[in-house]
Amino acid sequence: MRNFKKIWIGICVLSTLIACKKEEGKKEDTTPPQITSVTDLQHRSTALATCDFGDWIIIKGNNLSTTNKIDFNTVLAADSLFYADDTTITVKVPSILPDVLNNPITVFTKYGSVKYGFQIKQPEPVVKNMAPAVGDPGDIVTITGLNFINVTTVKFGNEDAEIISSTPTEIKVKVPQSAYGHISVTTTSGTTQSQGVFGFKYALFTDALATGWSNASYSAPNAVVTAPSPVLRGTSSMKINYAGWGGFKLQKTAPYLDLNGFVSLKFSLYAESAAVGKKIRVFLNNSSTPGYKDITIAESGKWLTYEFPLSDFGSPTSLSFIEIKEYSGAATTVVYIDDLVLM
Amino acid sequence: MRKILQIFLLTVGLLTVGIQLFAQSLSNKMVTGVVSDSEGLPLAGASVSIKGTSVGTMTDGNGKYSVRVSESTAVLVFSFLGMQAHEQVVGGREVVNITLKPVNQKLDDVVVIGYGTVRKADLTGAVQSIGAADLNRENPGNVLSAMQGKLAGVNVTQNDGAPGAGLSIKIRGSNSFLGGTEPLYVIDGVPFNASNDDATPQSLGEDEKQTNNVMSFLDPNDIESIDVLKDASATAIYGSRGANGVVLITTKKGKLGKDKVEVSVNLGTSNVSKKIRVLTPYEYAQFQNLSLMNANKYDGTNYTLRFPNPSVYENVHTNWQDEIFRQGFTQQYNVNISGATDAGSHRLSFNYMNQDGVINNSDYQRLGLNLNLNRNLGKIFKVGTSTSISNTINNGVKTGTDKSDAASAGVIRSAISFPATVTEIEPYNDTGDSYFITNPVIYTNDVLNRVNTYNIFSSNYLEVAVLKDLKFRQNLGFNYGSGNRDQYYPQTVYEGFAAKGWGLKSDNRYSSVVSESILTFNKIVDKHSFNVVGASTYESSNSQWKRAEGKTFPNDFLQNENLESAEQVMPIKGSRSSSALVSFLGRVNYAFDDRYLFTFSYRADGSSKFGEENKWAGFPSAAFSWKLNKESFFQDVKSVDDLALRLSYGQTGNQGIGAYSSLSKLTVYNYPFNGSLQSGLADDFYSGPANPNLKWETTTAYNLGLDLGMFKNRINLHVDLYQKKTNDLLQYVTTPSSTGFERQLRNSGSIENKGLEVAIDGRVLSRKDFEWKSAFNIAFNRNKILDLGGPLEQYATNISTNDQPFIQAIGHPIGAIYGYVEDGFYDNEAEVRNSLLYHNESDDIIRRMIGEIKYKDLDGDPSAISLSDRTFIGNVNPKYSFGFTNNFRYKNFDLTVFINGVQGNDIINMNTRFNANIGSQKNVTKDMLDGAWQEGQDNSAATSPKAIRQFWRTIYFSKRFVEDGSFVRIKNLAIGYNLPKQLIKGVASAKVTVGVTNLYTFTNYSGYDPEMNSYGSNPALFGVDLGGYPNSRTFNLSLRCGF
Amino acid sequence: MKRLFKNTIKTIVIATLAGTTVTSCKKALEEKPYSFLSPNNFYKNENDAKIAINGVYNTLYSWDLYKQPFWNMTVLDDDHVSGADWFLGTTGAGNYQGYWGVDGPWVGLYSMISRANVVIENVSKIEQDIDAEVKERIIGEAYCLRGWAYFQLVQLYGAVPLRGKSLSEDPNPNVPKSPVKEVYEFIIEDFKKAEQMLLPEGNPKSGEPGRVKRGVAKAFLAKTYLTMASGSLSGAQISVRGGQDNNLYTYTKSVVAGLEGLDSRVYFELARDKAIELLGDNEYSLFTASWKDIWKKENRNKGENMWELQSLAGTDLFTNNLSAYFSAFSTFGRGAVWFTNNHYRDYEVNDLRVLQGVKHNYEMNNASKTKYFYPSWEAATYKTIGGVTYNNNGTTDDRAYVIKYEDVADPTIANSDAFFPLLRYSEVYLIAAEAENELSSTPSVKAYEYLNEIRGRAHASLVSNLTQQEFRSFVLAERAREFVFEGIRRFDLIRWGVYLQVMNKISAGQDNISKSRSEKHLLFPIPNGEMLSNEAIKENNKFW
Ligand SMILES: [Ca+2]
Ligand SMILES: [Ca+2]
Repeated sequence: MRNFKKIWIGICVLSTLIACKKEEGKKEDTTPPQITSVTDLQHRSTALATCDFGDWIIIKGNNLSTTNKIDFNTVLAADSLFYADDTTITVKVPSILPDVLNNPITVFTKYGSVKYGFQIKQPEPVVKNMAPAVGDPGDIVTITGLNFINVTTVKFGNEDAEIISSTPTEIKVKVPQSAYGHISVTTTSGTTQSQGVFGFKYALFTDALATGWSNASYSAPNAVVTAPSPVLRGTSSMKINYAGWGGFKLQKTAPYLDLNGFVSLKFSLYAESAAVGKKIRVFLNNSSTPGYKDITIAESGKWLTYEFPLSDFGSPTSLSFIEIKEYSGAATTVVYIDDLVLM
Repeated sequence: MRKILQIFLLTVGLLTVGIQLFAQSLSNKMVTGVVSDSEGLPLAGASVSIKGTSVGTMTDGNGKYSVRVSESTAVLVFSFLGMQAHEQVVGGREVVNITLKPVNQKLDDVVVIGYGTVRKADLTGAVQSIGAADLNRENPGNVLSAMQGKLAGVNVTQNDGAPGAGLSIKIRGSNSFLGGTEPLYVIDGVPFNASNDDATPQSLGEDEKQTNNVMSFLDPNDIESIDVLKDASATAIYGSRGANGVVLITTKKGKLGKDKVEVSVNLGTSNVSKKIRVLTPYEYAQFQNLSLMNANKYDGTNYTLRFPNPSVYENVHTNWQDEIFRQGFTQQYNVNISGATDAGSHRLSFNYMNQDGVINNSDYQRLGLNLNLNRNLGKIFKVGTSTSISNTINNGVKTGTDKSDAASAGVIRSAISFPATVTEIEPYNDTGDSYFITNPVIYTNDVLNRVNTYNIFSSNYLEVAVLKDLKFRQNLGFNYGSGNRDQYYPQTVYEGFAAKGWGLKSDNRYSSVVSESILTFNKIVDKHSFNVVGASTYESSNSQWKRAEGKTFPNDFLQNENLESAEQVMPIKGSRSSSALVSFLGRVNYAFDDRYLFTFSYRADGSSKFGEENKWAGFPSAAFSWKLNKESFFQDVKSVDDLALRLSYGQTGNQGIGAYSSLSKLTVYNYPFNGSLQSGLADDFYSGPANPNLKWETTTAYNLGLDLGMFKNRINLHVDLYQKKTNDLLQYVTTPSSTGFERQLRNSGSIENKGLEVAIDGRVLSRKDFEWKSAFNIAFNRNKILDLGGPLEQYATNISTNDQPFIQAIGHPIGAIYGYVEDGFYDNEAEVRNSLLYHNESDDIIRRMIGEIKYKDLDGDPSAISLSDRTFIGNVNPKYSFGFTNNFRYKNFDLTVFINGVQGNDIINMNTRFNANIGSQKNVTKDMLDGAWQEGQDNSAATSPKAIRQFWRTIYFSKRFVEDGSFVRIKNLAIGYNLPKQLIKGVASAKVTVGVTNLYTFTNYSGYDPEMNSYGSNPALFGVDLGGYPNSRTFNLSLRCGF
Repeated sequence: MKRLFKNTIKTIVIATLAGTTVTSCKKALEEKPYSFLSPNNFYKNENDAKIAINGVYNTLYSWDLYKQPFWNMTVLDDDHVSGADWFLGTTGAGNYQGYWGVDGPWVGLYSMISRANVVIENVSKIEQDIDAEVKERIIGEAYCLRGWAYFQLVQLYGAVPLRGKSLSEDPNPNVPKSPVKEVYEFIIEDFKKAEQMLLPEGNPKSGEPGRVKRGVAKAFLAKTYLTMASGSLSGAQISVRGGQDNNLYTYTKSVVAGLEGLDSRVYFELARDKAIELLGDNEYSLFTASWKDIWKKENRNKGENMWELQSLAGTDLFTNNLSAYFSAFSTFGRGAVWFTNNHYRDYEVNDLRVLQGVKHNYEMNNASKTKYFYPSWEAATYKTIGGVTYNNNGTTDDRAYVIKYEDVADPTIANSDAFFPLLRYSEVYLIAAEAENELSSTPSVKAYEYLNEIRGRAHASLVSNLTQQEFRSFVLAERAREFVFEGIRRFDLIRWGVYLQVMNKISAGQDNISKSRSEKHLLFPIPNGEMLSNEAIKENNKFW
């Protein structure tokens, strides 16, 4: 009978037996980090002598898996922009660093830090935006972009402009006498020309509609508004209150505007936050003309400048209408337009 | 010795004569008495008869009887079920009290072994049996589920939970890639040559994997015993069909005594045993918005939110599972009349069963008759029949399809993926890019899928006692089955939508005739006992099927009953095949002194299915058993009643392939030219190039067994250790598709199965009013592929459109799962850029990969995730499986608890595969959304990629879809009450039982039930849940009465 | 005892013989097939030969080829296609392996090749009960179909195994990839043999309409030369309209892998000469009376429809979903595939191929019956027709549905009998124009003649005064206009070596369909089954 009991217990144990997983604790190496080289992402076995701001690089070394901070000459890499394993760190160099060349890298891990003297140079300047993009001599224009450390000159066309102030990402200049042309920025790292042109050839609206133009909008109530409503420049802008699919439309009475010699249409747009992600379509003349441009509003609360070559609109020879139409079917989208000009 | 015997006989003879003379002086006196059992309890209903006459009576409730005896030489025969019959000469007595002894089952039980029977104690091979009582305790609807968990090494798995669904049985592991795991069934001596597929007429979609249960025509109430032959020495007598084991089913016969009527009624109610927690409407709306926002964020798309105001769903509680599940009722009746005299026995049984499925619109009905007649014609001849006729009707809903991501994926997948926010139940919608699966309620209710089968199985014999020791038996078996399927997909469901109604009538028919001529010779000479069997058999099987199918009906009103109105007539298809098997066999059982037992057998099989060069095969076997307890050196060990060692060897085969497989076939490949169809023929693509060398698979097996009985057989232990090796595996070998063929059927490769089986049973406690019996069995099997005949690895066929996870690799088991290995998620842009998979990709692609699954590179080329980055990620074979039964009896009450389980097996959960692409419009489980990667959160425990609406994501087959399928299930709990005898007049016995089946299942499996096996007995694709019919929990009340 | 044994044995023997009803085991074990034929009693006469060649054509109508995968994978993956994301989310988005039919082209084309091999071998052996010319023709059909299959394979998979014999003649299953150039040589040989053995259209023994004829072999020979020539041309520039803004972008073409070092000029010349020879045969003609005639049911297998996929209404096996997927009227409500607005703008307004070839007004084929017009910017023309107003939300409703596959027996069913063009005569003109242009530094008069034949027929303005590079670019664009959704564009972009550049310039296409592609997309992946079982192929195509 005692035997029986034993068997019995055995059976019970067996029947309820469920495999237990053993979690093997990994032994962490507490050695401080070490850096041996830096490479780019494409050629991971070729050590780099130098790289640029904003580049993706791989920092090679040892004991890197617990990396929690990467410092580029006091600027920290964003958490979402680095990934570390034991022997590599994939990281994006911040796009703005304090020095044009000497920006040492310091890697901090759970068990220490290591500094690596590495040259990261500022690339050529990048001009992203100028605001306003139209102006009178003496007006202050803010040029935004990147790599503006050690800025030496700013030119409007061929004319030097007076630099009021500069930061690595922003330069304020005074508009010189001839206020038409590309803006070029020169730093000790190089020279860049703006994509767009400053100024205009024909103003359809800066603070008021040009002669011969009138409002022919449908389902898009609009008005010319003055500051404190958002105004890019001068005293007023146009406020458009879109209903879904609404069309803001400007009409020129005959004779139509001859487009000979014009190359592009340019305007600045300011959107309220509800309009972000919405689509706007720009037509010239009527909507059956081949060609249009779509704008998806990327940001609110700031003026964004758009410039489109007339070839996008089927290269019309004359201009009778400009239509800026809501294209997401979203009701009550509010946008402001200023400096609607032809170049 | 002989002298003593002679003297003894003479004495007995003289005595008899003397008594006869004395008795003749008396006449016509009443003899009374009490019949009781060994514990002194009176036995009610025991039969008392006068030998050689038809006079007899029964004892009453107090065990009393009275019978009129004409002469004192009369011999009274006392018998009672489960007791040893006792004969008593009346002599001068008027009161004859008798104590009947229980049958010593362990010694005298007879086991059916194929072409004969042996005493259980004389077994040389591994054979296990279940009797009627154990079969019916849980009121199973069919024979196979009655066997589940009760026999070590016999794995019965239901394919899914649908009423009438097929079950798969696997004895001692898989031996074959193609030949199935299905054992050979032999019913009353006649092989039953049909499979689940034969019972399943063709359906409209090839993706519909549900099968019907071919054995469903037998009511377990009509079965006396099931004997399972497991080792090759036992199965070799069945030659080329023995490799998967043999299941011998013996139906009930009438028992000696006056006619008995038995009625059993079983009423049950079932509910689905588990529901899957999917998102509620409110959660779903938020989830959809999140997916679209993520698309805009990571993919630069421009979606507007689908549910601008999700909170309107806060009070909506749609759960589509609730809409299709229901409570199902089951009724089961069996009425039988039986009896027997010396001249023969009879038993006639009727059964009816009606079972609702737990999904609306699915049910199963069976109406059957079983007739068993045996007649002695004089002393020499004996004839008999055992015939079953049945009709089953199975109304099914579409579950279990191999479409991993399609609108036709079946009602279960529809129920768990259909958008929760939908409140209207509308037909399948024509905007193709909307939900892309039919509403589950429509899907469940509108589709017709009915299978109606008829089956006749008849086993007949003529037995001739040629000489005293020589018997000749001629068996003639006949099996006929036919099935019809009526199927219709109306325009309201996806399958019928574009087709404008899709209807089918298909049927199949199979028949076989078996003739067996068997000579049996028995002789005992001194200590030598011989049993010799010789036989020749002939079997011929025919099968055919056809289908008629049409699309585009004027409306859905007539369903498939109006095929001629179909505008699109699909090709009518049909096929017919026949096969034959001719065999010669012989077996010798020899025992010396009841201590050393030997068995030798040989069977020669000729099968029409094999190639021209390989028609015949021979299958030898040998076995030896040594009863140690009979040895003199063992006589002192009092506690051991029985101790035997068994050793056996045998060869068996498997010819489980279709007829004509070895031949080259030209198949119709027509083509129309300018609007008229022209005949075309070419080599059949699917059957591949011909192979005249095709033959059977051969399994060579060894078995070492130990039987131990102790403490007056209160504890019995059986241990078997086996090793099987199967060579010449039949398989479709992949040929390069550039040959114009994708596969060829060949014999190549070998597999090994090794295992250990332990079965123990015992009477733990045995008191007058209380008894506790317990039985436990456990089986371990290890399967290993030894050789594939060339390649080191290959893959079983796809289990869905794009997944082919079953690898067959040398050193690994059949059922090994191969796939990719995940390595968490890409948690930020830097991690994506670090990966050599993406470092050259555009910023757009890099951005969208954030929050996606990261796969491990295993082949040393991190610049690509390719097929060679896969590895072994699972195995569907259990480490062990067990069954555990406890029976308690207290006075007239009894309680049965039956627990079974398997441990260590994996399941492929294709439901999660179907919904893995989190962020589409499909609903997902709560766990899946909770585990989704989300930017800005701690994703260290994330289990799913980010929820995003996209069309570019590739989710590889990884461990994500492989789950632990281990379970322990309280399969049955039943409490019975035996009504006191004679409580109701005219009722000899009555028992009421209340029980519950599938009471509780302990498992980590996330699907409905770990017991899902959508590909049935296909050994290469075992353990896949394709969205099968969920299992149910059933409460039942049953009543059994004898009159 | 002894006697007893004797008796026993005797009885066993007797009983065995008596009990077994089998008289002859051998006979009992013979298999009697009921439902299929065996090759032993086939390939005996002309009728058998025809039945055998028909079996080769049958592969076109398989679930590997034109039941869907072949057109899905070759039509949906170019710069001009857009459609429902549920349908274009796989191959249309460059996710080939997400598509169920990804292995189809390989399997189907090789199945065609294997059956063609059987025909070539077995029909050659038939000596009796067969007309000598018909026998030649049938073998010629087999060569032509085999050549066509290899031509598709080499363009889709690059280097592929060459199997010139059936499995019974050459049972070796492991055949390595042959270099691209060798495959092309093999294709040229096949088309040349086919050209010799096939009979011209109109010859009564050339076979029923729908079979390949001599002209088909010639045209494919010219197309093969052209494909080799344009693929191997090095350093040339070609301009393609595209990107997000539909501007004209100029790319320097790449050389198609495997064709490096080929003298492209030689092949341009061969292409031109063969095309001109075929035009001179005057066996086919363009539909000039009305452009729409090409797509009319009654004109199937006629005029310029040199070779088409043959469908048969009312059957399941010989119908396809082209009508439902590509037409405005569809069982899906409206079709799932349309072309992009940018492509629409590639046509002149009066070009019949959009004026008549695109559905401008249609109704949703469902309960809603919503009416739509296209394009949104031509509202003035199409918004209101006969007082009925049509809708277009200007975004997801801008769907250019073609009419090519809509004239079917019953457009209301998904499986309809649309024919799919496998070769149109207009391509022969454009082959001649393209090749001619490459052979002189400025486009010749002849070159303009061939090109303007096609432009004129479509009522598009005739072109003149182009530089060689402009002409080259124009022909590429003209082919896109002429053959949109006919399985031409993707092959063109690839053979001109600009597929990746053109696709990636768009990146995210109309209706959110991704057009981003990487180098792996230049060739399809070889199916797993082949990789696992063909021991002679060790590596899949690059990056797969
Ligand atoms: Ca202003
Ligand atoms: Ca890899």
